[in-house]
Amino acid sequence: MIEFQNVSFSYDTQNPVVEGLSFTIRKGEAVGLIGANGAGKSTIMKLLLGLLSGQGEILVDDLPVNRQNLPAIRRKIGYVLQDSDNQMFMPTVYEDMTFGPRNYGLSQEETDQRVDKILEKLGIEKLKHCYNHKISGGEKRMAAIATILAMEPEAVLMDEPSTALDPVNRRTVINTIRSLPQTKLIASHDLDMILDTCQRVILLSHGKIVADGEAEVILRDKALLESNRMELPFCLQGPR
Amino acid sequence: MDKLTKARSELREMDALAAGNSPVHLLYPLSKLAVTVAYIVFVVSYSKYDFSGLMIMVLYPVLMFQASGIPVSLCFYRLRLVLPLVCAVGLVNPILDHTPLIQLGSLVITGGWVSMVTLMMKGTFSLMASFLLIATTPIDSLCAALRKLYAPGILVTLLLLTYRYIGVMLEQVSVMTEAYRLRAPGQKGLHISAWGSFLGQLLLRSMDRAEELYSSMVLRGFRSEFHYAQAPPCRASAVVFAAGCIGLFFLARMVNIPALLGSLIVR
Repeated sequence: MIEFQNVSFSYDTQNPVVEGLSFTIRKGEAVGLIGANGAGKSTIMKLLLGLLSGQGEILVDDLPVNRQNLPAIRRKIGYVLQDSDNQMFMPTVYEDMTFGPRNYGLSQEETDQRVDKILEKLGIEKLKHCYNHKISGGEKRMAAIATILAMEPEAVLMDEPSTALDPVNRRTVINTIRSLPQTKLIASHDLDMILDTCQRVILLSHGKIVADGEAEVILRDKALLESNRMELPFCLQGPR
Repeated sequence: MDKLTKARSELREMDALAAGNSPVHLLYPLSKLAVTVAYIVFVVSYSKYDFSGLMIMVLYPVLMFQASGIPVSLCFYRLRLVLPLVCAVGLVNPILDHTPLIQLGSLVITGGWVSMVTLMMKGTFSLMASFLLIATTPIDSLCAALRKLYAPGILVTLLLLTYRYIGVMLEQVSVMTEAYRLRAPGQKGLHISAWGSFLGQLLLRSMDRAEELYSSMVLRGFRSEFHYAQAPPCRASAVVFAAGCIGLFFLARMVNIPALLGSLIVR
């Protein structure tokens, strides 16, 4: 579904943020994007969504990511931002959830049905008419995911979905991610969450792919992780 | 609560206020907008000495505040910064205009004093009506009403985004001021030497934040035009309300009702 062919991007000529990236993500696959700070995880997502443009070719369902195809591509891909406050700009959860579907031409009735369906699926019906500034961080993250799911995207990109959440909210978000049937690309430093939600992992370092394979294999490779400024997931570290 | 936090919460309270369900809240937004615009036009059109004629116009905001369940005191409290400025406009009139207008025994009231009071009333009434509109109509519905009046889409979107952006900027200022205060104990306000860097940082941070917000909008199909929340249906009552109010404003403008009532009593 998603294909990167020799993609590079840099803000200046000397320091490429990502360099020569090539990988493919199949439909329905859940892929974790891991790497130290500045490895290029968020940049990959922004390139895929056409928020940044670099060299090489990126294809989404065989459509090249270019100006002409952006509306179609953005309709297929939902992006959950790292900071939910930046995502939720309307006064209430309901208004935020209707924003995307209404922009894509759905009628008010269809949109309302869709909103109710998603809220019920995520178990957050009580948040429907809540003001965004009055809900907790965990609720806000769930609502941010709901705003994206309301667009019924074919793929979901998530940037650090578990940061700043307490253990219970983190578990709720993980369970929600696991229940999503869409293609998923999740960038995170939370390797336990990646292990819980993804079958495949792409490890980045200085904008290049260092490893690409099964999550169970890469996330158990202590030497590989440590040489790339990461460490084993807590659940695999054993008793201290 | 510091001033910034207070400003932020007041801004949010306006959204909550506008989401009420009083009869005034439930009125069709376009008719409320039309009545408010007409009210301001009629109020402004009174001559500068028509103090008594203008008095009757206070009835519209007062009655509407009553019907909406919003205390008038809240309006004056929220407008505490703007009202003095509006009232200050007429302060020089008593110095410039010495035309004798009213004689109360030996006391002569000049045109300057009357026009000052009239100007203050005009400003206050117009602000009250504007506040009433904002406090009883969500910003989205207001923008939708503006679009129905064929206001340019780009201007309406700009209005909406500016409204949203005020909150974003206040949040940034609040975070930065807090960080400054924690490292400058005992200092009152922001030291003049920090103003430049503070403003620069504020601008950069706000731009970053605004860019993220805009990305979030664009990624959800936003193309410079909002699909505003559906307004309540335009019923006959909305037309009657608008026509009735505008008719009464016109009547009040044409006939000096307080003077008429006064002459009836005196006779």
